[in-house]
Amino acid sequence: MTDDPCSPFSSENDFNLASWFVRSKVAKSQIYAYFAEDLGCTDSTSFLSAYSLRQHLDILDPFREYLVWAEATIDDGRHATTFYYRNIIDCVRFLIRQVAYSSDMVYAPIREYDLSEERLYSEMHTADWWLDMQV
Amino acid sequence: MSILGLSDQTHLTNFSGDKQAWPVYMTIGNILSRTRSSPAKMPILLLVLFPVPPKFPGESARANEAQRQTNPDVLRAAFDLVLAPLQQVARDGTVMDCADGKTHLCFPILSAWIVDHAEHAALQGIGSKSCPKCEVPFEKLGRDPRRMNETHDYMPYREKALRHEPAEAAGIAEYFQRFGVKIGNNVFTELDRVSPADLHKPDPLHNIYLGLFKDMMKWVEGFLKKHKRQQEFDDAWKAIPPYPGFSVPKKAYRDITQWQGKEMRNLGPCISTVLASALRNPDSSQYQDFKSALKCVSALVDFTLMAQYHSHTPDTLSYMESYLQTFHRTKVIFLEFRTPKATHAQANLQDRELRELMAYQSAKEVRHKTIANRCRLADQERVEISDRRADLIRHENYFNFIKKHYLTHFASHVRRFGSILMYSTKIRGLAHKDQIKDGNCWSNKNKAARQILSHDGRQHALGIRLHTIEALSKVEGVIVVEDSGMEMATVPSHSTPRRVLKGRMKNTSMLTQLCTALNIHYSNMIEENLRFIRQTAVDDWRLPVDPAELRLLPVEGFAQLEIPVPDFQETDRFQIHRARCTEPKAFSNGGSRNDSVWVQTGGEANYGDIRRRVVARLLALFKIRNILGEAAAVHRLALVRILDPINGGRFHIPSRHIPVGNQINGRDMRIVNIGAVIGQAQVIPSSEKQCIVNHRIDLRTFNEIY
Repeated sequence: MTDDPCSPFSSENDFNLASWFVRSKVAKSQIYAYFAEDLGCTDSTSFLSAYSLRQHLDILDPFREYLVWAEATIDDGRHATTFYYRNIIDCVRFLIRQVAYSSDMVYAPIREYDLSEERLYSEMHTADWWLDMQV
Repeated sequence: MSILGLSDQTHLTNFSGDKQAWPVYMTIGNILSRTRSSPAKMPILLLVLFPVPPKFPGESARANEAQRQTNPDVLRAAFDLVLAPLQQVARDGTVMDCADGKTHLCFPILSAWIVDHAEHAALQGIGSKSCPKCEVPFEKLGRDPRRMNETHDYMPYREKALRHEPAEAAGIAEYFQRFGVKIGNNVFTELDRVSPADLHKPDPLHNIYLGLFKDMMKWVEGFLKKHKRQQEFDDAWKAIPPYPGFSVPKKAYRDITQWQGKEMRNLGPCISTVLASALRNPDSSQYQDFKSALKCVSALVDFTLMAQYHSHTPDTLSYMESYLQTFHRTKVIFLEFRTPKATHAQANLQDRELRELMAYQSAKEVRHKTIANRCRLADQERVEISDRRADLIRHENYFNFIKKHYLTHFASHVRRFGSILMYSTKIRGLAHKDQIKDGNCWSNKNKAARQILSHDGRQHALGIRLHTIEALSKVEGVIVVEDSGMEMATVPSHSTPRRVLKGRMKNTSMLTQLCTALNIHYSNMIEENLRFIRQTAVDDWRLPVDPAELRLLPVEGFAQLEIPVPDFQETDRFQIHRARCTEPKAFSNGGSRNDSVWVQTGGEANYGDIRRRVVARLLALFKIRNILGEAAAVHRLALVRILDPINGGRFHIPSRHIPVGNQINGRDMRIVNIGAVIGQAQVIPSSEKQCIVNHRIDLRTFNEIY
């Protein structure tokens, strides 16, 4: 992960603007209009069109190589259909290294007991399956 | 670590071409369920996007048959491709960079596949009426299994399917039939360290609410009809008071034509109380029937409530099992209302045959009969037909349906995989909306799949970045604290939210005015106040005991009390209960509201099963300021009317409900500190003098009262 949380955007302001565009689902034509009419009143944005915004967004994720799509075709005898899929292991790699989930991540199974020494079953890692699978 | 797979066939658009897609998602079990089940945190990744080919109408049946043969093979080929990377790493493990900054050796194993039953049947290659977990035969689906059936072992099925001679094909089919399996080699059998029987997860939404409750309501309707209690049921239904997280039904039960998942969830917690109210005062012939009907419904509701606990102990699991057994023991009462379609058809056929036979016979004899005779004969025939029909239905009715059978697996599932709630298909539905449907909306519908994927990619990248920044800023905050040398908790401790009074009433500045507004006799009010004051400790804060002084103190009246109630089995999350007492004003164009609340009763009488608390109706909320004392302390008080528990607060035996009295004699008012008001209660009126406390309304009340 790069040190600057806003990269590839040049400043925090820039990032916030981009994030607002995406989250509030501003249409492409409206983004063009925003820059054409200079509503932002700033001159130092790192993107000046919906197109460059998308380009920035496409390289936003530092782990994007885990999430590339592969294309495959299945043929059921009469017509061939194309479908898209990701590598399942890479998806796991992606999820497990996200800092965003680090506070809620567990790595090993445990046995939980309540005050009266009764076994507690709650989250997945407190139940038997994970313990059985552990090597 | 474990991988969870989710899939669900979905409609993208209902108009313009009726497009469908079949997305498959994945997430990992290492993320705790509170993050995993929150769609805003984006823990669910889209794994595969299958297009669903359009159907070709008008093709010959033979082509369809051939299609049915190849479909599973195609499906398996596709899934093999997607799941292939798992094969190697499940056995040998692989090193991964983890969020804690270290690298771990990980063994990702597929452990769950969260889908509805129809898709399970397709993926696991089982018949639609057989259980993916065990080899239960169809006739026993509805039974209470004392002895668990054998768990499906898919390996031999696969062996059989792969190595059979063409000549044996018929024998193989028969062998599979016996276990309810259609295809030996399903999409999951090839995976290492994965037991396909374990992948199935019980699903509260589809299984309980949309499945079981829907069926149960049909039986209950039939039961009410038979005993002519429909009107009472409707009345009780309409009288359900509001409760946090519960939307009040606006129509009579019989007027509702369509049920949604949300409404079904709504119905669950209150159905048994409403039923208890509708079946009040049975006569002697009905007594036994009503008793077991109530018992049956209550057991099922108890079971579903307990199934939703976040954490279980062996105790709660055994309660769950005993509820299920009670349900199985008492379900017979509803048997006559549980008629499958096939039996209906059979009964109709039998009717028709019988009628034709009789018509033929009577046609032969008709010449010799008078009109009166003929009428009598027709009556006899009718009676005979209906008797025969009832016989047949009684004979053929059963409870063998798959959703019923799943319940038997709930407890063992908790032991192996943890709480059931976190495997709900609900998260999948939300993922659909964010990842697929929005993308489709934005695309120009031309080669939509590509556009959906890139749209989702952008949204996802941004969302993850925002969460990462948030997580990083939290970590930095802790470091700063450490630098400054202060000993502070790394996580900011959530202080308990306080009770808040809201909605100030106008024109109430003294006790007398409050009494006039509420239409209460002033002497009663003063008397109660004095009783309350005498209980409090003698100090500067205490209100004066002299009625004349009390009369002068400034008072503010309020209409609403916000009570923070901790979520069940959580400590830092709260639900706000808003108890209202709006009298004499109306509340949002309905009548005035005087909510029922639970009130803690200090060392006083211990009311049986409801344990040191009483149900009370909130009459007034007010602040009283002691300007005469030196501290000028403010007291926040509530005037409540206690609803006396009948039978000393013990459970009413058949339904395990707590009936409370509802008499108004002016002597049962009490003044309490608002701190003693624990939360809202739901009380359903059942007759003029009696109400029923619904302790099944939420998990918290259910757990505490039981």
